[in-house]
This record gives sequence, C-alpha cells and structure tokens, in this order.
Amino acid sequence: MRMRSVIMMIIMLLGTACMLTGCPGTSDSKSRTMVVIDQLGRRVEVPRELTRISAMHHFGGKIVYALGQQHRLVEQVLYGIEAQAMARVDPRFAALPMTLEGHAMNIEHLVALSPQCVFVYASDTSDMELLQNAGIPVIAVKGETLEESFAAVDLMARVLNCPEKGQAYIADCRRLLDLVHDRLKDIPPEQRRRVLFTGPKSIYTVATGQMLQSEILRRAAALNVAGSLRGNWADVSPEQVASWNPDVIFLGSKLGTYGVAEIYQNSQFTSLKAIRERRVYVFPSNIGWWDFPAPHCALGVVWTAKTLYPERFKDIDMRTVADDFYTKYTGHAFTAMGGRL
Amino acid sequence: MKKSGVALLCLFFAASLGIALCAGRYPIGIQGVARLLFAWTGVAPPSEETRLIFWNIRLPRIIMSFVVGCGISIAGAVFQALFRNPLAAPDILGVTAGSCFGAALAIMYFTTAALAVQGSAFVFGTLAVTLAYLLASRSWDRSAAVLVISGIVVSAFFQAGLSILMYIANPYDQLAQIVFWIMGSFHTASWAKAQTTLPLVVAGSVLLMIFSWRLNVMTQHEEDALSLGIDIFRWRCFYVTVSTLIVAASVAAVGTIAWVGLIMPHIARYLAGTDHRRLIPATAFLGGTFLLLMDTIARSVLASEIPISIITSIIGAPFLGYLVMNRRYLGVERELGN
Amino acid sequence: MSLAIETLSAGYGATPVLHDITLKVEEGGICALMGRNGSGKTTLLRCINAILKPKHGGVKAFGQEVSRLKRVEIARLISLVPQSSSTAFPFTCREMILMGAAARVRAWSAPSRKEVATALEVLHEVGIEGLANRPFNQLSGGERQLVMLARALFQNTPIMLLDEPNAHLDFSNQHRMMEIMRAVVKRRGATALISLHDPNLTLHYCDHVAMLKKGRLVAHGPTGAVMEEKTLREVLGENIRTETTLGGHTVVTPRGPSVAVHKLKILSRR
Repeated sequence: MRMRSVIMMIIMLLGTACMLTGCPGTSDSKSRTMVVIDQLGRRVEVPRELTRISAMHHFGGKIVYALGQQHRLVEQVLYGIEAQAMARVDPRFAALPMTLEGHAMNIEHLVALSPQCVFVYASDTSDMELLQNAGIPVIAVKGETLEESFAAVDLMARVLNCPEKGQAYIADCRRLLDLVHDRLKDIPPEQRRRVLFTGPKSIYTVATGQMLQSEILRRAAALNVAGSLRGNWADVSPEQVASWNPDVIFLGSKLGTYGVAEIYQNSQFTSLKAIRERRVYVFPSNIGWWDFPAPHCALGVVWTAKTLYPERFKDIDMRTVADDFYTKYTGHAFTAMGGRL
Repeated sequence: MKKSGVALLCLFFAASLGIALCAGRYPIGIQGVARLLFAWTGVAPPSEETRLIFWNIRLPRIIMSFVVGCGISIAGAVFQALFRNPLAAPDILGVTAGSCFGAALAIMYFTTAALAVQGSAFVFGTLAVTLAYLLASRSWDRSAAVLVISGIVVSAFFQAGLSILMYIANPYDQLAQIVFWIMGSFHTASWAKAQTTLPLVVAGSVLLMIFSWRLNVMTQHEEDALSLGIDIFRWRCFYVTVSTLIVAASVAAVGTIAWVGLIMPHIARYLAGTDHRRLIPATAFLGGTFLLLMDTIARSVLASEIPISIITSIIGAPFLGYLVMNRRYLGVERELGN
Repeated sequence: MSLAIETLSAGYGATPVLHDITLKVEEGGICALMGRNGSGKTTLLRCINAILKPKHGGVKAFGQEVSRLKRVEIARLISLVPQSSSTAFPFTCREMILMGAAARVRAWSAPSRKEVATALEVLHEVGIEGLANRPFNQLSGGERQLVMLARALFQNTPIMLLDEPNAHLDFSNQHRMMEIMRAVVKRRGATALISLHDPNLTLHYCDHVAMLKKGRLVAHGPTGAVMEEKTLREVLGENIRTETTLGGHTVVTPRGPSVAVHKLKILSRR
C-alpha cells in the first residue's frame, strides 16, 4: 500500500516536472495562448492577443494605464477618488462600465463583460476563485514593496505584450528613486528624520514597520518611529506617540476627520517636537494615494525627501515632477486631474 | 453593604488608581508621578514635557475612563431593574446602534469637526431610544417587554442604516474611520472631551443614585408596582431618559464599550446585595474602577493600543459564563416547590 | 361606604369580562368574592385597583372615583396581595416588605429607621420573622404569599384586596392567613375583599360574600344569607351540597359518596 503511494507520488512529480519543462513561460510563438507564472506562483494560461481585460484592484488598474493599454479595458479599473479624477478629464473612461458596487465587485456583471483575463490583487483570493469558476483566467499581482510592484509591472507588460513599455516605466520610477538616494546617501543614520506616518482612520493609527510607508520613509532617508510594530495600521495611545516624540508627522489621508490645524490645537500633542516645530504634513492623496501599493509610490518618495530635506531639493519642483509622471503614465497631468500637493 | 465589601472596593479602587497613574507608554514612574502631584508643596517637578503628558494625556484619560465606567454600569443596573431582566445591557433600547449610525453619518458628511461626530452620535443615540419609546407607546400593551421589542426593532433599523453607510463609504478612509469609531477607545480623551461628556454623565449618575430606592419597586411586576403607589410608566420614562443620556454621552465620546454595563451590576449585587439604594453606588464605583483598570491595560501593555472592548470582553464574557453556571447572583428564579 | 362599584362593565380588548356590576362593600369586615375560574374575580379586583380601566361605570373608594386618583393616592387607600409573585432579582423578604412604604416615601428618599422597625413588627404579626433575611425567590409559594400579605399590611391601607391568597398555602396557613385578616380588619377597621375558592373558608371567616358567574353578580349579602345550597350550586357547580356538622357549623362538601361523611352519618345515628 505504502509502496504504491510512493510510486504514485513519483509519477505525479515526474508528470509535473514534464509539464513545467514542456511548457515554458513563453511557449512557442505559434500557439495562440501563453502560460505565465503569476506573483502567487500560479501557472496561468492566457490568450496571446488580449483585447478585453480587467483588473479588480486599482493597483493593477493603474499599471494598465502606465503601460498605455487602457484601450483594452472592458470596465473602469480605477476606483473612488482616482476614478472621479480620471472621469473629470477622460470622457472615454467615464463612459466605461463600473462593476464595483459598494465595496464588493459584482462578479456577474464583470463576467457579462467577457474579459479574456483579469488582474487580481494577490490577497483577494475569494474573487480569484469566483472568476476562475466562471472560466476566466486570473493573474495575481501584488506590490507590498516597490521591488514587488516592479515585478508586477514586468509581468503585466509581458502578458499585455508590451515589455518595452514596462521596462521604461520601471526605469522612470528607478530614476526618481535613485535621484533621492544620491542626494541623501551622505546623511548619517543619527541625523535622519524620525517620522510618524498616520493612517486614514485617525491620528492614532500609524503605519507599522511591515508596511510600504516604512519603505518610502527609508528610501527618503527617514525613520519610521513605529517601525518596531507589526501588522497593518496599528492603533497607538497618545502617550506612545509622546514617548516616540517624532520630528515630523505625515497625515496619510486628506479626507480624515482630522487635519493639520486640529492636530496643532490638540492638547494631547503639545509636547511633541513635530508640533512645536510645526512640521505636520498631509501626504498627497486627493486624487489617489502616493503611499498605496503601486510603482507611482516613487513620487511619494520624492515628495517625502523634498519635504524632510528641502535644502537638498531646491532645484526639484514637485509639481513639475508629478505632472510629467502623470502625463506619461496616466495620459493626463497631475494638476489637470485636480491633484494637490 | 458588608463592611468587608466596602473595604474591598476601596482597596480595589486605590490599587487601580495607583497603577493607572504610574503606568503608561511614556515612562513617568512612581517618583515622577509623586513629584507632579505634590508640585504645589514645592517639590521640584520633572520636565515640562513630562508635566504636559501627565496632565494633558494621562489624567483626562484616567478621569474619563472612570466616569464613563461609572455611567454605563449604573445605566446597566437601571435597565436591568426596569426590564426585570438580569441580562439587559445599556444598549437594549438601541442607543448604541443609534450612536454608531450618527457617528458614521457625521464622519461621511461633516468630516471636518470632531465635535460634529460626537454631537451627531449623541443626538442619534437619544433619537433611537425616543423612537423605541414612541413605538412602544403605540401598543395597547404597556409592559416593559414591548419596550424591549421596540428597542430591538429600532436597533435593527439603525444597524441597517449603519450597514448602508458603511457600504457606500469610501473603503480606504471613511470606512476605516467608522470602524475605528465603533470599536471604541479612550485614545481621544482630553480635557475638551471631558468637558463635553462628564457634566452629563456625572449629573445623570448622581440623579440615579438619588432616586435609587424607587428602583426596587420598579423591579416588581407592573401591577404590583402600581398597587404600591408608583406610576410605573412615568417613572420608567424618567429612568430611561436619564440612563439614555448617560449612555449616549458616553458612547458619543468613546464609542461602544462591551460588557461593562452588563457585568458590573452582577458583581455589585454580589458585594452589596439587591437593594438598589446600595447597589447603584456600588455598581458605579465598581464599574468605574474596572474600566479604569481595563483602560490602563489597553494603553500600557503593548506599543500598539489594545481595543478596550477586546479586554472588557475577554474578562467580562467568562465571568458572565461563570455567573450563568452558578445561577445564584443572576437572580434567575429558583423554584424550590411548596 | 368604603367601596362602591357602580354599573361596572369591563374587559380586555374586544372580549367583555364583567357585565354591569353594582356592589357596595360595607366598611369594616371581610367580603369574600366567589365564582368559578374565569368568572371575572381578578378582573373585578383590577378594576377596583384602577389597573384596568372599566368600559362603563366606575369604582368609588370613600366617595372618590379611583380612576381619577393618582397612583400614590390609590396606594394610600387600597393595597393588593397578588395571586402569585416572583422577582427577577434575589431581594430579601425585608426588602420586599419595605417596598410597601413606597407611597409614603418621597421619591428621592428611602424608608426611614422608623419604617424599618414597623416593617419588622408586621413580620412578627404575620409570624414570618424568620424569613426576614431570606431571598424571596428561594421561598415556597406559600411563604411568598405570607410575605406579600405582610407587605400589604405594611402598606397600611383602609381597603385591602386579596386575590386568591390561599392558593399556595397549606391547611394550617390558610386558616392563619384568614385569622390574621380577621384580626387586622377588627383592629384597623379596614375592609378586605378576598377572592376565595373554598366555600368553607368563606363560611368560617367572611362577613359578606359576593358571587360572580360569567361576569355577572348573581348574589351579594351577608354570608349566612347568601351561602345557601341553591346559590352555591348555581355559582360554583352542580355537585355541591351543604350540611351542618355536629358542632353546628355549616360545611360545603361534594355531593358524591365520601368515606368520611358516611362514617359521620353512622356515628350521628347512634
């Protein structure tokens, strides 16, 4: 009995190996489909010629725009404030159907649009399963770190058959990151600014060491004071904030029930250095977050660096950088879309 | 109350207060606290920063948690008496559901002012109870049970409203803020918040303590209470109004806090007996001290704050389980036969 | 006239229960209220106590229309011993009895030391001083009845309504309760209206009796005059007869053969 199951296993392993070697990532060019390995390590077979695609998360959606492939979309794949900003400047986008209803995707609606392939964020496993059951190939992508998001760009560019555009996009992002790195690399660790990055919930909700915000700060030669915390957005007490005593506070969202003025007036924070020195800033987010998974977080790194060390970036005009980047990778200038810094 | 009970309560309070004053994420220490408290005698106070943190963050939070604990525990005891139900909680008439809806509404449509959220939560909390009361008064049956059912109806209605708001809320900002608010916490405790909350909670609690003996009669069957000379319907309205104002003010300030209002009256009954003349003050003191201690744990054990309702539930729920198994103090009727 | 019921009709919702009842209860003394299950005894007591609003007619206590009085004013005139009682919380008997002072105690206050002393006296009077600190909910039904009686006595009203107070009592306690009532009525000059099922208790302790049948008053008057076999059969059931014992008491027994009665007859023949 045991012998037989061992043999079975060996046969299965061999079979899998054969399949893997037999059908490499980019199989022979005559085939009408190709097989890719997505960011969850899944093997997905998709048509070579994709004319109808969708993405169930604006991470994927934004990359489709950055690759200039928006003409293939069957629906709006930007959501919330980003979608509103895009709809203001792009009538074609506004005319596309929207399958997001409330917080949930209407899968039937999406299936009815018959996409040939859907990009899903790696954590949305239930949506992935639903779409697979409907017979639609699903590619999982993610971008919890900038490097991971570059890998996602590369993957999507290959699937959408425009690898050179992906490379250009990644190179542009890297150029921004390198610029920041070059100008800040000589700052000794003890002189780096200590920053509290607060979240969309409240001033007491802070970005932890496991979050992209920590990477953005690190790349801009700053230190997340809450870097020792784990998990997603952690709630902390005002006393904890006081004992961290950050040099600078970033507010992660403009829509909060709190704003800069209210924090300056809050008696709980009067002892903080950031408050005494009036160094509380709103992280750009009115037409989409610059601290939310996607390669365009490179803009967030530039903004952070310029905000923390303005003397080293006197020649950089953030508005120009943002306008150029947005024009190139969304089709419209940042300010034209209503973006504010 | 038994003398030992009073002594136990006082000891518990003193210990909790001591811990609460000295514990926290910002290190002040016993010595620092003593120097701060006795600065008026001429002792050299610690640094200005320490002073600010102690007076502006720690002290208002300690006071808020104690007073809110008193308020919701008293309200719990009063609702248990009014509905003759040892399992009644302060939110039985929909005040919590109403407040959450009100807060969500404010967060979504008047986001700028923090006071607007608090005000809206308070208004909708009291509105929910008023609706439950009006609904019940339309019934020919004037018993407390009808009021409870009305409360369930109104709660369901406002919960649905809240769900709708959460459904249409922006998932990254507004939804997170609504969830944060509903979870409840004393993070935001400040003197400004204490000024808007405490007068109502303290005044209501004192009023309920003054009119506490009458609650004994309110626990009797309606017909019996009427025969004893208590206009049970008018007095029910009085007690519901005062308790609701307390709970609505508390919930509006610190969100929902689970279990305290349900559990504290039971422990107090164990210590002080059933007579509301002694039960109400004992409940208040015990509830205040309990929440003070729980909030101290919430704010000082980990770098990230532990949601207060998790702590009160973890400690409260097993305790209720214990009470259910040892039905003695639940007051569940035991028929011994004739 | 302590209690006057005038052309009273009442019911629940669309269901009529009492029809056109006119009854005057003389001051001082015990009046029994008799009738079969569902004849409207409890409903009548509820109307008198202004718990239930009559559809027609009214109840006057000492010349005042009770439905126009405030609850606290009614509670100073009328007390009630309910059919059965329980509480959601484990009050001690002492606490239960002290609630009888509610109509005298100001809303923001509690019973005074004097009141507490009086309450303890009443406990003695009823003979349940041993129960004072026991939780009410742990008592037997009969003990509870006695506590509720003590509470009504402590309420100290000129009119007392007792709704089947003997329901849970043992034989000896049934008589004790009636004896207490007799003593109280005599000492305080109070009026008691007691709904009873046992005609023998009525015969033994009550001055007057009112008989209800299907919501109508069919007989009313001094006990001796009303408690005739014919009336009893009409009101309480066909299988009833009265006889006179050797001691000269009238007793009501079922009509069927009974071992004890046979023996009694044999004895009396000798």
